[in-house]
Amino acid sequence: MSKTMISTKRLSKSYGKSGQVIALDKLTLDVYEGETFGLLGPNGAGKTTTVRLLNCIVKPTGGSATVGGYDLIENSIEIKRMTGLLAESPGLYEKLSAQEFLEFMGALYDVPSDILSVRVDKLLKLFGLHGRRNHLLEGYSRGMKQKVLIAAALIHDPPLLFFDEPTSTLDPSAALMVRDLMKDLSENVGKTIVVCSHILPIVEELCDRIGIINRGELVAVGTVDELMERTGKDTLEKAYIDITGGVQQKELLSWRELRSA
Amino acid sequence: MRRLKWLVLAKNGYLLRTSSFGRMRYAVPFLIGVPIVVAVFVIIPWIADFFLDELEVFFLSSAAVTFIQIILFTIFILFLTFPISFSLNSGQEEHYEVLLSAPLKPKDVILGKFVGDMPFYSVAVVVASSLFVALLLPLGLGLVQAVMIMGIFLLTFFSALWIGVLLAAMIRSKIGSSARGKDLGKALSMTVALPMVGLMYAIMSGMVYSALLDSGSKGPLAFALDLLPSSWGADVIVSFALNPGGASGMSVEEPLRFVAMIIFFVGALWVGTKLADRAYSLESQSLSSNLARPEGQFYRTVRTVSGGGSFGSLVVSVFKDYGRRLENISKVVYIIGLMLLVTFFFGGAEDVGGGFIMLFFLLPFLSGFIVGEVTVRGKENLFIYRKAPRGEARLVRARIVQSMIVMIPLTVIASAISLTTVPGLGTGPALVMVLYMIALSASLIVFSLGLFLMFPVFSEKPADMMGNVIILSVFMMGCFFAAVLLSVYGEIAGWLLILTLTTVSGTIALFLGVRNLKTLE
Ligand SMILES: Nc1ncnc2c1ncn2[C@@H]1O[C@H](COP(=O)(O)OP(=O)(O)OP(=O)(O)O)[C@@H](O)[C@H]1O
Ligand SMILES: [Mg+2]
Repeated sequence: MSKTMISTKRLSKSYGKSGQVIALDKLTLDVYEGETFGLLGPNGAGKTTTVRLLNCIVKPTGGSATVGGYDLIENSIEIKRMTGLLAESPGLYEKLSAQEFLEFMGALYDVPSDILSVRVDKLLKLFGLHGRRNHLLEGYSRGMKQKVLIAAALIHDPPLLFFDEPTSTLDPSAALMVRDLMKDLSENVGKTIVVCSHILPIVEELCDRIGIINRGELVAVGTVDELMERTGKDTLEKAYIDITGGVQQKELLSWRELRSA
Repeated sequence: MRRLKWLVLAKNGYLLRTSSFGRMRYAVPFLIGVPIVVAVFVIIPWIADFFLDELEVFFLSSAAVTFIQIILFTIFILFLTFPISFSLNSGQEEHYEVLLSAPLKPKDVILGKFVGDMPFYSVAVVVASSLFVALLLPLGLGLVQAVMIMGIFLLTFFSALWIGVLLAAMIRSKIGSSARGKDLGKALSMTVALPMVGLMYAIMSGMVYSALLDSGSKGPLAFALDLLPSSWGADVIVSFALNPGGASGMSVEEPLRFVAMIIFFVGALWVGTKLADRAYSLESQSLSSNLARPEGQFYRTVRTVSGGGSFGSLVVSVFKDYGRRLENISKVVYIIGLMLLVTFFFGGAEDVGGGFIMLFFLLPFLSGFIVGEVTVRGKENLFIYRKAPRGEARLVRARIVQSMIVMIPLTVIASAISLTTVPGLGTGPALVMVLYMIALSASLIVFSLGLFLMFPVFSEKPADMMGNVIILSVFMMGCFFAAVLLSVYGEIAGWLLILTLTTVSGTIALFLGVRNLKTLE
């Protein structure tokens, strides 16, 4: 077994004054170097919270963790340097052009300027944005912004990458491109990748292992095959639904019952 | 049954405005109303009674009409500009899409906004008008007369608000069609208020007042005022004050003028709704895409000044995002405009320029407006920095450098201009004063950044920004009073005290602010 890249012990996070909202509850998990790890779970399960914790954006309220051998609290600067993050609802500077924004991000991560300009150019070409690189981001569509943000996450070429719903706003071919990009990053240059997604086929294809979070708790970890075996289902989708509590039988159309004449 | 759409929207508007009152929001009008009634009928008449003679003399003088004209005119302009300013500035884009997809007419949206805003603003008008009525009651004002005076104030306000809402909607739909247009709107919203403030200064310094009085035959200003419905009411109020006492004290003229005001309002309302459906379109707007201008000499200089390297790039990026927002420019223009007005109206005084002193109280506004931008792009934007190694420290440093590059030249220009109004000031002392102002504005930048990080503002509304700016201004006033007390040991001691207090408190504020920035989630 290869080295562990991420290791968490009873890592917890609650929000609110007296911690009413428990976003993540005692997560204990190892992610290994070079592996692509998928985080699944229903809306509000705690995936984004986990990613934010591991990128030192929010502080844990309990437990401990190491990322790349660095302690989450003691060595946050080293961790930030070695991780790249595509956030779920990221901020960007609308009044900068794509090129200017990527140069800004490069400066934030101290990428030497000669490397930076070449890299920005190549990334913009890769995402098909080179032709509009001088347009302000305020005029970009959501998917185009997403592409810029993915490029921004890669700008310092970090060994560990987090993608929080990378393809949710992309068109089908761009989504496939990003999927292949993640695959390349993992297979050819040995990056460790953590990806949160609701799009199961992509997760199934990319991820070596999958963790399923439900209401802040890690309820299952394993390869796709292990998860299907454990639940006795024949697809990942069925296994996922089984693990996260199944589809409740609800009267889906009951809201129509009182109709005006 | 079909609901009245504008009523639905109006209720929504009311709820939005009163959201901070929580479940009390429906009781708000009563909570405010009861004390007003008590004040109007008990407290103020009792006080006014003591000044009865002076009041009578005042209303007999020809100044009274002008005075009341100006008050009503101020209300008129104020409520004309408020909605324009608010609506141009508001980031209601999200609500907007929701409205677009609902079956609505433009008329409903505008009328809804007007009616929804009405209770909110009425409070201010009712307070103002009842103060007035209360003052007049001891003169023996009749009930009908009192009610009519209140009516005049409300009509003035309704007309102004309606025209304001209408204009705002039209301007918005005309210029809101591009990202640039939205910027323009925000920029306008600040500067729209400038003539208003100018007017207030003019009134304070008595210029308009005397201009109106001097012209026994009416000057152009008085004539212009006469055309506005606000002035029609002023005559009514004065003649009531002169002939108090029920309906008997009324000639035909007063009810006639009152009716004219009603007709004006109803007419405006009618024309407005007709116009709204035609001139204002709810249509979704195309977003034109703007090119980033290539980096010119200015940004190259900024890069060099801030030390080049990755920190230089950071400052340049922050600066570009700041400078490309017209609203930022307009805020600065606004304050500079104020500074010039102040110099104009208060300057040229006998002692060390009143204008220069006023500069003290404007600098906090300038620094607050420049720095306040730091958090308005929201938490997600701050998380970009949080994610980067030592990102928060870089953000703070980049912002300080960027703000100083904006603030210091402006301070130099403003203080230089206002110092020219001080008679007989040598070059040496003037230079020292300018240097002093540079040091002061630098420490104010640090102070405001600290404040805005301690109490971050996540919206672009000027009203939200004001909180921190007010803290800063109050602080400056405190410093100033302390300095005046200390000036028994010489004037210089006072000046130095101000600078020391600002620098020390600024450093503490920045320390606390950065700590807050690091824990924000
Ligand atoms: N800043 C915050 N303040 C308070 N509560 C928060 C905050 N961020 C997240 N939460 C809460 O934490 C819980 C987990 O949220 P999280 O964003 O991690 O979910 P998620 O798994 O990413 O969901 P989704 O699939 O919708 O993205 C939710 O209950 C959410 O309400
Ligand atoms: Mg999420």
